[in-house]
Amino acid sequence: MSGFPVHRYNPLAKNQKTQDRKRRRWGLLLILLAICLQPGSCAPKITKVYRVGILSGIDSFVEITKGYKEKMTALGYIEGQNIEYDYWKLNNDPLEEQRVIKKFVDEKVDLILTFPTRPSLAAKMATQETNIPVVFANAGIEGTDLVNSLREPGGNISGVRYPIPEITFKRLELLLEMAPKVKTLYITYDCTYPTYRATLKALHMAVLDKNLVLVEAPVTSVEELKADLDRREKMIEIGMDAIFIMPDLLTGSDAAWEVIQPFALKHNLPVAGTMDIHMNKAGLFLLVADYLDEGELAATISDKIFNGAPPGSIPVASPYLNLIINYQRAQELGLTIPEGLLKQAYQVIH
Amino acid sequence: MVTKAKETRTARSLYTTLTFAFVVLSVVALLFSGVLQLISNLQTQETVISGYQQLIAQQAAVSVSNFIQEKFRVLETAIWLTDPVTQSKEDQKVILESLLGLQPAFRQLVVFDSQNKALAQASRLPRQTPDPFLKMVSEDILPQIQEGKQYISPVYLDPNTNEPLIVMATPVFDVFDEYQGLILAEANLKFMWDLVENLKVGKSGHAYVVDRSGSLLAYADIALVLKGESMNRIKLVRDFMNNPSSIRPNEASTYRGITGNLVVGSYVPLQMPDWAVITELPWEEAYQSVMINSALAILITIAVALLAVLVASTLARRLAVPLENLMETATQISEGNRELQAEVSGPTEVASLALAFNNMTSQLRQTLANLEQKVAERTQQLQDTLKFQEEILSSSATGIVAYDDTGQCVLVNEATAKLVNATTKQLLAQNYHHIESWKKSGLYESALEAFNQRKEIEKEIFMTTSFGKDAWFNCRFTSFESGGRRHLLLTVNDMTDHKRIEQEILNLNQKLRVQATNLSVANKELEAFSYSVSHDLRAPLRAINGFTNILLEDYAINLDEVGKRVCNIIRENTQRMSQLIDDLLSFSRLSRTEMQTFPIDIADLVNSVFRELTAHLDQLRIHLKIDTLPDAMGDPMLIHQVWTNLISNAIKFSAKREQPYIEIGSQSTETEVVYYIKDNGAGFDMQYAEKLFGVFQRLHSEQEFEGTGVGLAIVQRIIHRHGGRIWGEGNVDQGATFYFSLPKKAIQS
Repeated sequence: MSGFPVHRYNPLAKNQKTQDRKRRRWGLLLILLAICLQPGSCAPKITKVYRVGILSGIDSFVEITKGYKEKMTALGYIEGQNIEYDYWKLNNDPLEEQRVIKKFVDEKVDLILTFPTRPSLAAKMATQETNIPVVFANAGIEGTDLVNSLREPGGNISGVRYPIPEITFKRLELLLEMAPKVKTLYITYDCTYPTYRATLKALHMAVLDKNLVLVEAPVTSVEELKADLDRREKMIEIGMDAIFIMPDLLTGSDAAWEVIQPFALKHNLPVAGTMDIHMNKAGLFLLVADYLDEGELAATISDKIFNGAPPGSIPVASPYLNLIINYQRAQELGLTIPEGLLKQAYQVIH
Repeated sequence: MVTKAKETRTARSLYTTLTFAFVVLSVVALLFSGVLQLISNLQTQETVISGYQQLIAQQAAVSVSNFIQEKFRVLETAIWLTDPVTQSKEDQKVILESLLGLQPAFRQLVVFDSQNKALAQASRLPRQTPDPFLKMVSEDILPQIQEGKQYISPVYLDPNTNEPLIVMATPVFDVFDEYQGLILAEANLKFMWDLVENLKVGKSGHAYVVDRSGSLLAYADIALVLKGESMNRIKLVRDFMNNPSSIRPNEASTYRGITGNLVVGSYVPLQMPDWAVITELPWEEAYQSVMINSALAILITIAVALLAVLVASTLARRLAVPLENLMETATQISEGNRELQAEVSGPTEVASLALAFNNMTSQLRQTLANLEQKVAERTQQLQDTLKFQEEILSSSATGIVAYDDTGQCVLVNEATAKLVNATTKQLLAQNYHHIESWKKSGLYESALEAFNQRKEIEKEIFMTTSFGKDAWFNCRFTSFESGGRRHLLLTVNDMTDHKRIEQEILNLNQKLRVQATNLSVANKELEAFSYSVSHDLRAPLRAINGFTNILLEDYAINLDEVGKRVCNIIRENTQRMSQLIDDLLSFSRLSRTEMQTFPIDIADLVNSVFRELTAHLDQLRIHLKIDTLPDAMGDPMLIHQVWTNLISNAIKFSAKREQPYIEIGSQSTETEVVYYIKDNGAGFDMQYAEKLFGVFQRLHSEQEFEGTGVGLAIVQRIIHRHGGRIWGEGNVDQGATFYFSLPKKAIQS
């Protein structure tokens, strides 16, 4: 530490300071005149109306749209005044996703907001030959070609990631912490979904040091999922202690939940869910990105794009993760949830 | 009368100049006062903004500082309430997980004992995640912790999310202030983003937090934060990095802010941690009031300028319009509308000027009328002169051609066209630099020489013209200046006839020279023959005369009368023949005798000759009249011979008159003197006048008048040798007059 600085009166320094101030005032005056006299400074500003196409791949992401719109409003984009939203909400329909994306491109919207991964990838592909920026939310970037890197996404795309490795690891840890007796874990996933390989890889790595058997059920439809569970129903042993739902639109859909939930209830299986719907009955816990936060982060990125920043230079943001524990279900299952987890939880359902 | 000035005015017109000057003066004055006012406003606003910025920055710093302090307070409270170091492992974990739930910003928590051994850990991250967190606790910070001080690590970034993280350490003491260990917490600073974003800096300003290395920790634009770049491009960040503990009260800087726009910014460094909160207000917003005042001042300036234009225009029009009308009147007068009168209007001075102008134009009109009259007269004279010259030119037999300095024919008369068998149009189309016939004949070089050396060159030349005529031409080139340009004048004459005659004359002269040569030879031969004959004849003649005399003197007694008479006849004839030979010799000598020219007193010579010739005669019987006789140039001996022969002839042929009369006189002309001698003697028939001067030619018998017939031939030859003439006039029995002339300028033999 050098201690407090000692100030002494220095007339030369004072003169210099006075001159600096004078110079600065003249500089300010010139700037003022330049601004006042620049063409258009007095002209009425024409407000541009931005058109944003929003595509949600599944019904559960309403909060993302909500967070997005609220943040955009806070940033000065008032719906109906200077921004218009073309909001499309689908239900795990890849073809329809592509059609809506094409519609956005044909209409030359100013920005496309998509979530989660598959629609985002479709939007990226469809806008490659255009200047239409794409902002994604809740999309997995690991194992996909969505971005080049976290810091420099590249192209005309940026957004908010779904942190596949971290969330997969943590979900497994949480499940085992809440249900330590689980030895056989049933994982079902859409084997056509872009992120399934990355998720599966993370999961395989997570169980390396654990005495845990993964029972994989890759499916391409709810019917296949149902058929698999029906097949297991008929077996003497269903071959699973818990169900680990993977983050994809098929297994996260309402239809899939209507198949999984009765099965889990019937067989007293703890379920690690991925969607809000998974918390109504059979779901034990949910570690999920804060959708509002995702929407807000996406809005911040959109604002930056509207202000001229190249989308590909805007780093990908990571959302805050919320832990939701279905304490009621834990009690039904006879599980003791550690106090620390309950205190960590964003929400405890009881 | 012109009453309205032209609408178009030039930039330098009086109207424009006056208006411009008035407007410029007004606007400059307004601008000057406006600028002074602006400077004053700026100074005031600068002070206000500096204070405001500093206040906001300090508030923001308090908020950020509170964010950190709150985390420490949570840790301290947990320590105070739970004494985590002494708890069981399970309880420690519950305590830590409770803290994670209590503070979302905490990502990981670890409890260490006094030996720096990790007792329990709680984390939001999966355990497999590589964890730099624990490495942040080094031995270096422990003394500080053990002294009871809190610790905040430098900021580092999460490799998976690029989010800024810090490690916070709080010591754990027991009730006796004994050091028990510490709680280490990893805090995610993204939870400070909302706090910073919500800091209000004016209407559109913003705040952000940087650490001592200039890294952006919190800002509304999270993309910028996630980039993890240093903000040292920002002036204020550099100031903080260079002097992190300095606070600059009441000073706000203007610079390019974090958004790249011009901002007024201020920063407040936090003491703990060593970050700084920077607040930036857009320059436009900070100086909005000044800008409004400026805009108002500009509007006022523009309004006043417009008013100035109006006033200046009105004033200028009052002065300029009458002047412009006057100018327009002058212009129209100059264009020929001389009867126009200027409108007398405007200020007194201008009206007086218009009156004076009208008087002046009136006088000018009178003067102009006189001038026009004179010009018309002079023009008529000039036209007459030109017509006269053209007629001379066209009627001239000499060809006249003029060429300009490029060689182009600019003038030609009809005579030239006739000379070369062409039309004047054809000749006017010619450029002498391109006339081949000139180049072939050498005329071109003469033309160039005359033109270049400005001298007169005359050349006679035979040539075939461009129009096919073969002829001799006399060409004279002269160079002259006209209208500031040099010209070449050619006068040309057809010399073909002249050359032909000249050639004929030359041929004749050649023949004449041959004949003259032949004649001269013949004359010389004749003279030689005459001399020879005369000289050779004298010897036998003297012998005959001598022997005859011997006969008469020595043998007279042997001769009878007939014999004597015969001898006398022989002697008389020999004497006569001797006289003839003498005369003939004299005559022939005249051609060979060298003439000596001297001034001769003719009167004295005539008197002397007359006295000599009449010495043995009765002079009183002859009536002699001598008029004025001018002197002459000639050979005195020969002229003496002339007068002797002529006076003796006059005495001889008038001797038979009762009263002989002889008149000697002269007539003088410009070139010669004609002398005459007139007598009243026998005269002669004029039809034989040509024979008078022939040798041995006689118009009278020897019995009537003695003589050899050579005298007048001698006279004629002498006179011819002197370049004179001789002729005679007379009638039978009525006397004769002989004339001879002598040139006033003596003829050199």
